Amino acid sequence: MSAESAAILDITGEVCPMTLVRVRMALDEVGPGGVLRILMAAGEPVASIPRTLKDEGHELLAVERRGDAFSVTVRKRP
Amino acid sequence: MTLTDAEILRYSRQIILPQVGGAGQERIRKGRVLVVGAGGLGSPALLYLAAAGVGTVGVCDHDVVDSTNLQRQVIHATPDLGRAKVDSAADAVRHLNPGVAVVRHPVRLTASNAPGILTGYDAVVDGTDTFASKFLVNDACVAADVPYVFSGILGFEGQLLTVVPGRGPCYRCFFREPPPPGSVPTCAQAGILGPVAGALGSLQALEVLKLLLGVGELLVGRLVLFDGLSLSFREVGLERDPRCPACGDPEHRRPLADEAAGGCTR
Repeated sequence: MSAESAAILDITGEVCPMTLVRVRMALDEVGPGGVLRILMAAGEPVASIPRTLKDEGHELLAVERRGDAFSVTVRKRP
Repeated sequence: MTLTDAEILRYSRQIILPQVGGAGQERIRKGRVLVVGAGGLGSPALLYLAAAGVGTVGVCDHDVVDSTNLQRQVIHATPDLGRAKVDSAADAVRHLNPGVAVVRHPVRLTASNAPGILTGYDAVVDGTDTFASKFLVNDACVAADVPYVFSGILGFEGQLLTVVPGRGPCYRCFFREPPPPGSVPTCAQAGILGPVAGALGSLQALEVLKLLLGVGELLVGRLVLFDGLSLSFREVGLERDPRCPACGDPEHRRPLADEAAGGCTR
């Protein structure tokens, strides 16, 4: 699956810990090896969520700035 | 049915755990757990299971709330004195979490009613206070193929074991028969400190949640011995006894029966 056809989750309106809760639930929905693109605010979310995902064994494919926010693309661990 | 936004928010601190997630929370919500005995162990077990969002919680107890209970049975409160414990516990659970369905069994568990009461439950918490009841809970759960979490407490000490029929030993594999009446002090004689019940009852709830989630290593084949005075946990490895009258090979099994009433264990 390419990043272009990834499921998309927008958590720019959420605050911690609901940011990670929404990510957790969206990752439940994509199968192992599936790709999820997460739109998140600058600051705490982009500082912590990509690191958490990496620590849990998921693969970070891209972290890109999108105006005030960031797009984080992750491949769920197999 | 997927989780509502209110549920996602309410359970966010556990959904955030990689071992839970949305799928795990749905498993917890689908769970049906029976707590036998709404006393020192059952109180924290019931409260934590309800707080975690277990969909159906059953309470089995024939007793009424007495003032001597309140020092450790934290699900009941002073205005509940004289009420049936199942009613008091059910109100407390609903007050804590209206999303939980409570089933009341206002009876003493016996060999004749146990199979019916256990029907439909995914797991059982043994919060009983007599050896006779502990053996009955064990035998009935093994016969019904329902996993359960044993605990017994006295003074500053407690024991804990998870029994998954077919996957390890049961309580009767090593405590073959109740001790002779009078040989072990009752909790009325020996006493019990509330937080000891709280610690062990909370660990029972933890084991049940792990069972429902299918995560971690259950306390199967390992009897934990808790000593509150030294604050230490010891572990004793146990194996299933093929000659066990409850879970042994078919030729050694006995039909479900009540034990003679003996001393209490908490």
